[in-house]
Amino acid sequence: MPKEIFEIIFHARAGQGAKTVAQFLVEAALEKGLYVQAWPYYGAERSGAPMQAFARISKKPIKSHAAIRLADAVVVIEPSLLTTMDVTSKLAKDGILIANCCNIQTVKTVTKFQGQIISIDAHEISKRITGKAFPNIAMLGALAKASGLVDIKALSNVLHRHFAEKLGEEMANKNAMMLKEGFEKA
Amino acid sequence: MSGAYAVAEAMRQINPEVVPVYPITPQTPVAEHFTDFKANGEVESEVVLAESEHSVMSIAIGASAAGARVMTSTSSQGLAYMWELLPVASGMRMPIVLSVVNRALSAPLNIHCDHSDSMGAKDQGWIQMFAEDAQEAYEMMFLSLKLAERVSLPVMAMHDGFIISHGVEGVKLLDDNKVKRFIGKRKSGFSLLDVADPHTFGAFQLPNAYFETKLQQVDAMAEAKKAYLEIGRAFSKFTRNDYYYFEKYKMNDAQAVIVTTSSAAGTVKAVVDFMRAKGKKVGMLKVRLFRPFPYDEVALALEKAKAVAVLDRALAFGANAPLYSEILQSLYSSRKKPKLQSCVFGLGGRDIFEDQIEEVFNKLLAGKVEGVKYVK
Repeated sequence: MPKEIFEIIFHARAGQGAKTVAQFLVEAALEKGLYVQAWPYYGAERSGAPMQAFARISKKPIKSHAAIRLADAVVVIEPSLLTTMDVTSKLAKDGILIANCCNIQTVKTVTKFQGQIISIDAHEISKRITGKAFPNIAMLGALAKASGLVDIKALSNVLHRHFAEKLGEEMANKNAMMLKEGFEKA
Repeated sequence: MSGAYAVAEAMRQINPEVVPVYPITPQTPVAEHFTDFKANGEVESEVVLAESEHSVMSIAIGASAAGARVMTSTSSQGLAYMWELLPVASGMRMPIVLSVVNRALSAPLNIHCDHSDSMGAKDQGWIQMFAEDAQEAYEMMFLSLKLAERVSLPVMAMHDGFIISHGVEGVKLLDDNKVKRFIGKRKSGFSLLDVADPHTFGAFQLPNAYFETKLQQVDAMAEAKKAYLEIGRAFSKFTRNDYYYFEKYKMNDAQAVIVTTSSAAGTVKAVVDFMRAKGKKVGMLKVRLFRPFPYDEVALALEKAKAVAVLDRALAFGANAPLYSEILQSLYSSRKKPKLQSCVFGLGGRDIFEDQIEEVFNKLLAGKVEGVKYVK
């Protein structure tokens, strides 16, 4: 892991599973013996309203419960948020912006972020594999690749553990595919 | 797991006879997870999905009077809706355990964390304790239950809404059997359901007797203060954690101390570490047991500091902030009195950051104390 403490902000709309992927990420990190925190923040408490999820991963026990001021990575799960809010205001200059979007140039133009940008079309991946829009899983895969915080196998296991029982083996496998494709395309 | 899940997990291990519940953000995951356990047959509890929190507390009192172990959870307006029954629960000496997920009271409507809800109920005869994180929130469920049943008083155990309730952290769970051994069974004296030996519960009392009944509650609270330590020590044997009235963090030679509760204490600890590394003599006192309040012990712990700031996450309109008030009273009879600063932060879930805490410490170290400081 590059830094001692790594902080991530996820931007999404309520119901897209940002809180869920933040949780999956930290569960995988926890299994690796790291110290973690993951928590959501809601504005208007309803489906579709913009929200954020946070994750902190550290080599040492985390005492602080303060909000994240400067993240090492920002993941934008909902593309419309790129234009409606400033998603990079809390992103370090040497941080990574991972966006669910068509291409890097568009992201750069819209956000004016000068640092590293990764752009994958998570909606396309999800529509193709599941027929529905679940962009969060592919974005999680992309985050895993870009940050190097957890290995994809561990993350896959976490997903399987949660999805197999809740959604059945077939859906769990589809999620695994989305995760893998997000990872590869990053 | 999240703090709320950890609390639900503790409830699962306790397997109380009756759990009346009504959802309110951010307590909802406690209710959701516990009802999942019930649906999966992992608990035998009689779960009652009441029509309101007022009904929840009514049911809790009735069930407790019938000899059942009763636990439930709420926040903010939910606790407020139970308010009429809080002194009934304590007056009737019902050992109910209520997990309060701290959330700001309306108005304005706000779903985020502050302590106005539990502080608004601090004088209703309930034992009150605050958890810093998911681990403490989990463990306090067991402490609360043992304490409640030992002194026959209801207990509220608080943890911060969203920050802890929805915050996922690593939590070390206890083995189911160890928990069973520790909590044992409830030994209730009388029961509503005992028709062979009937008693009246929730009776009427004239002025010639009411006063003495209240004094019995005062005695029970004094007993609770002692029992809390004993139970904490017994529990430490299982968990290796400490449950003293408060946690003293790097206070030995601290010149500036911040007193606070709950998750903000964690953030203060991080700042203490940072400032200590720079040679500044700062420390923190995190209050766990708020009711009964350990006045003497707090005074002893704070006497040597030059300046103390109390960080309250609630206001007391028209008066001094609640935790600050208690600290002020603790120090009244001390010969050596540190300078005392009241700070109010985090209302309606507003964040508090490390640099703001550092500034509070720096002012303390410089001996600068000014009225009430609103850390916005």
